[in-house]
Amino acid sequence: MGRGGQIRAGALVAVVEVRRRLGNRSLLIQAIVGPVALAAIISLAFGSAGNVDAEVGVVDEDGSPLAAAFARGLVEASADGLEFVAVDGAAEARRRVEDGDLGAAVVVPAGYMASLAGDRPGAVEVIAGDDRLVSSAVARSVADALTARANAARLASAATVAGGGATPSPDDLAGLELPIDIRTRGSGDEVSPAAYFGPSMGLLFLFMTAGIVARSLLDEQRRRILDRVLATPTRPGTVLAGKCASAVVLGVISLSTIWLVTALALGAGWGDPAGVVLLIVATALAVAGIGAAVAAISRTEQAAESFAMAVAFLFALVGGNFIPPGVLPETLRRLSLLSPNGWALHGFAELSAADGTAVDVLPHAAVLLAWALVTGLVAVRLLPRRLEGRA
Amino acid sequence: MRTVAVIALHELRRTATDRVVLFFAVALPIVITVIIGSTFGGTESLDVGVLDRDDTARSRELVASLDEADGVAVERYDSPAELRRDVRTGAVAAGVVVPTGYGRDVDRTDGSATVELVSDPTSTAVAAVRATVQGAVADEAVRVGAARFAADHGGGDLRAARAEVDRLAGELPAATVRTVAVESDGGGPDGGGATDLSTFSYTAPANLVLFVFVNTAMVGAVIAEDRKRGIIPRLLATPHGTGTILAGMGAAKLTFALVQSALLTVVGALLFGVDWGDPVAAAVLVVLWAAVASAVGVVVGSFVAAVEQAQALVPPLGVAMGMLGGCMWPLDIVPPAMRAAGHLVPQAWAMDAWIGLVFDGEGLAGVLPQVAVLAAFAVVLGVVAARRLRTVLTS
Repeated sequence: MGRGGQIRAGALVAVVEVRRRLGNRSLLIQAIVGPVALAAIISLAFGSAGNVDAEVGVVDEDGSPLAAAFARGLVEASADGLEFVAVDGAAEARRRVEDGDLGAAVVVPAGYMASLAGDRPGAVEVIAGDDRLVSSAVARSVADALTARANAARLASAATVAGGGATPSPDDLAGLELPIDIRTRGSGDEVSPAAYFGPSMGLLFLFMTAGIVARSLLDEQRRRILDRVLATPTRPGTVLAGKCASAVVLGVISLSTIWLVTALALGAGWGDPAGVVLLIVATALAVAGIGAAVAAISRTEQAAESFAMAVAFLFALVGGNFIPPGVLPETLRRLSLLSPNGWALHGFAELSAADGTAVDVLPHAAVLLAWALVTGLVAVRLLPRRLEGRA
Repeated sequence: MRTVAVIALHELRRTATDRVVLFFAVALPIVITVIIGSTFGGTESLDVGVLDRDDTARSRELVASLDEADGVAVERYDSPAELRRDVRTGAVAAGVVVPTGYGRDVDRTDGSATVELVSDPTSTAVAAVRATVQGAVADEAVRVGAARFAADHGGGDLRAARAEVDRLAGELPAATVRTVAVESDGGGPDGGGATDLSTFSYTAPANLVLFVFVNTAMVGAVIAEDRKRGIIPRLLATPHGTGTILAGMGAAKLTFALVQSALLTVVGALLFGVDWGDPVAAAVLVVLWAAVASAVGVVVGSFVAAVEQAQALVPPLGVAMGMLGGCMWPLDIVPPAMRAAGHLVPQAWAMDAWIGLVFDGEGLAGVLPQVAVLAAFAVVLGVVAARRLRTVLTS
């Protein structure tokens, strides 16, 4: 069989394989439905602003102008999802927090302002209740803000006196402004979470399907289908190429569908389409290459499956699919540079979050293609020898 | 009884030789626990990306004070796009943007500046960083505010007032915040409350809930394999009743889930000092969760035709339920509707109970509602599992 014949045979293997897999419902769930569903959950959880839902009690036992102005300001600032309620006395606040009526409370104790003039300044108290995470965090930051004002008042008073001025009145100090604000923004405000988690989840599950090339080959070997195919002039390399081509096609279909669905249904902008296509193809090639290498070194279907899963999860782990690389120890962070997931994920983020173009993700695509090439070569060298040795 | 044990043992032995299962059940959760544990247990600081658009003496001062703060290391950025990308991918735990004109506004007597903190809401790791950044910015704000006031009321110039404030700040003890954790009616030891909320204390139970569920649901596929291999028809040909066989299969899943839970809790406790809370309540939770997971495992086993199918379906399903139920991030930070939806899956109830145990120091009485709901899940799922399995066995 000539070169043209081999190509035709390879294409035939690929077409049969693609058709078989598209008919496999569990694969569709794994490669498309699952990632889209997970990206949708993340979008619903974090897509909208105003996630906060907290009710915080404010107790002013101090009665000083500073504390009164602060408490009043808070109650007036109550907004959707974040409510500040004036409460009479710390005991009452504590009871209401215990009852779950309030998530947390901030107490300015009696004599607080006066204590600031002395050597032992008092403390604003946070009563942290059951709804800890948000209400307590809100209460804590409110208490921090008041404490900052108190500290500013304290320093201002001392510095005024040191500069030759008269001790400022509490009313004057209550008007003290802190000129630097901090505004917290979620990264999702600018970049849709689905634009990041769509590819992230897609990659995770796509790498998990890498074992399929191996499983399909080994299954056909076990059932002697491969023997029959190889009895024709079709070379083992052709069969492998066909299987890999089908894996590439499926990878492209899977990631493209996730792209389409998250973009249309969740409004996720993945960035420059040329770059997205480039990364999708490069990623699919890398996954196919890794799958082929797994096939080349595994003796049984089960071994192939466990090997592929282990590799997929290892890559996902250091590549940032589970844990953001920023919190990893330095050594692991360096290791993440080896992970194809990491490069792909970084590339997709370059497009969606950093307004990158196809040119900007060329390095990412190059690394993915290198993975495809190296693993593909391993497969091409090892697999035919093994198949021929057995056939 | 002996037959139940034999059937269970047989299945466990098969599970123990399945490398895929072992990988998911043992290696993966431990690796993740170790990575997260070593990250948060260690002294390594988290990176904060800083984009100083102002680049004046004042802004550099703010950045320097950030850099000096405990637990964070400043990584400098030149472009907002790159900072946005790295916050998104988690390469840095959070981003800080100092706006253009910051120095000018701060040095003016009536100007004000807004520093931006960008963080990924899905990451629970950044809470500590956020507090540190806010602290550093607040500290600078306090000094600037005090200096302005002093210059205004004392009649001196702003520069001299600032120098005086900086000197005083080093001398005067600062006012602080005191946090009191309030226990609900459950009692038990003081859990320390919000201030002790470390990411790892949350991640450890979250991983336990997530992985025990996914793995146990996955090993349910052994049933499908047994059907394919004809083991079940042979079992049915013996004089043992269907009930006995059902019990044996259920017991195998339960044992698997329990062994795995024990492994994860012990590794967490011994290597990273995770406090799982009241031991009795923790044990009840572990057993109930194992029961829920094994019931789901049996249901999965009765539905799928082959192990591969379970391997394809269970991880996305388990991860989705984990996300809904608060295993990936605390449900406190999602909108109320998502939180309500989350409580349709048992994971949310299990996480609520663990939060009660680990963070609030609750005893069994304190998490009774969650325990009751989990028990209900276990019973209902158990009944469904038994019915499905009976149908499958006898069909």
